[in-house]
Amino acid sequence: MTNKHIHRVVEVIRDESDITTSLNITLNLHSATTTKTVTYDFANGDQRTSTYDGFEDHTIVDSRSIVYNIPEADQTDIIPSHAHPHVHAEELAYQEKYKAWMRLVKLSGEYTTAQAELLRD
Amino acid sequence: MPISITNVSLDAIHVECGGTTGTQASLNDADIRGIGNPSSTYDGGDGISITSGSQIQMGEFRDAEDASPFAVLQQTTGSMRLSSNGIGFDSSRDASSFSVTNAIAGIYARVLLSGNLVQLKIREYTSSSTSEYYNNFNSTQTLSTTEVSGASRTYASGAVDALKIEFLYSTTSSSGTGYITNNASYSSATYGSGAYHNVSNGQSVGAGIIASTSAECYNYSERDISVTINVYARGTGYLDTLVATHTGTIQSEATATGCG
Repeated sequence: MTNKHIHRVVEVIRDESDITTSLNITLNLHSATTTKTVTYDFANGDQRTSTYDGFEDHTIVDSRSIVYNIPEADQTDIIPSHAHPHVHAEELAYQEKYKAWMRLVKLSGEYTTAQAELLRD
Repeated sequence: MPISITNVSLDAIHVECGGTTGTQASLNDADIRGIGNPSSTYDGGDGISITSGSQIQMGEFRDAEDASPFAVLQQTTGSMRLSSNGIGFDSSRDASSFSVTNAIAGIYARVLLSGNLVQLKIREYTSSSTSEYYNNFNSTQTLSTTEVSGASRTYASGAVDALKIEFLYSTTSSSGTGYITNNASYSSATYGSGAYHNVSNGQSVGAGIIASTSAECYNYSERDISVTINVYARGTGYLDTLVATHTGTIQSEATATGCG
């Protein structure tokens, strides 16, 4: 067994009314992580830079894709802003939705099977 | 030391089996037929027959070694269950605040030689996480920054010369910032992980493994680890042996609830 790295990439699919209907989830098995840097721009003009273990496409050695259909009760039309000014209540509401989706996705048979396939030696 | 694969002599086989060089021996001697670890490459894949008088060949002793494996470590009352009985531990951190920097979860593990007793000890990396382990009764217990026993065994006096601990892992990461650190230094251990180290009484080999996440500006980040901890023993007259395996999971989540 060798050490393995899976990067989960999630694309949120919305219908014509901007309601989230499904998630396209790709699990990419990478041969290594890549040290990356991100800089956050704050509303007050400050910046913060972080270094982290990220991923590059050229290190992908295998992948699996699954689709998760979001139950109607868990759908939302909130679109999080990626720029200032953020609408705080909407950001938090969307976060809760997103994290709930991820919890359910990770428990699904399709996800665990895809993950196990990638980790198989 | 394994017998040479070329120029095999009866004397070399005899010496490997504990005999004195130049003294009388025969291939039919029980200790020679019973050599501890024949090589499957040269013994035909079925070992060397120990039946007195049965046909065997000198060539079957090539690369053979009169050594046997160490007995494996044993669970003791209340110790963490071994991988053969399920996942041994879990450590997690779910940090949510305006800005999250390095939310860490993980464990330290070390294997200690105490006299002739070999003990695997495991603890939580940081009290900021929430950690638990399963004992040998499959009961969930809190894993804190105080070491708990992973398994142990008392060997023959002087049998263990060196110990090795290794961490094999797989990670699943969301998009977002964070990192995995394997072989994090462990101040309570004498030596690090990933290689055999000669140990004397009171010395240990060990390291840590952690998942860490950070988040800014309403981002969410997640790092999960499945880890296998293997412990190996080495000693004269013994084969290098995997003596204990534990498995566990580590998760870190960071959620930023604000932005600048």
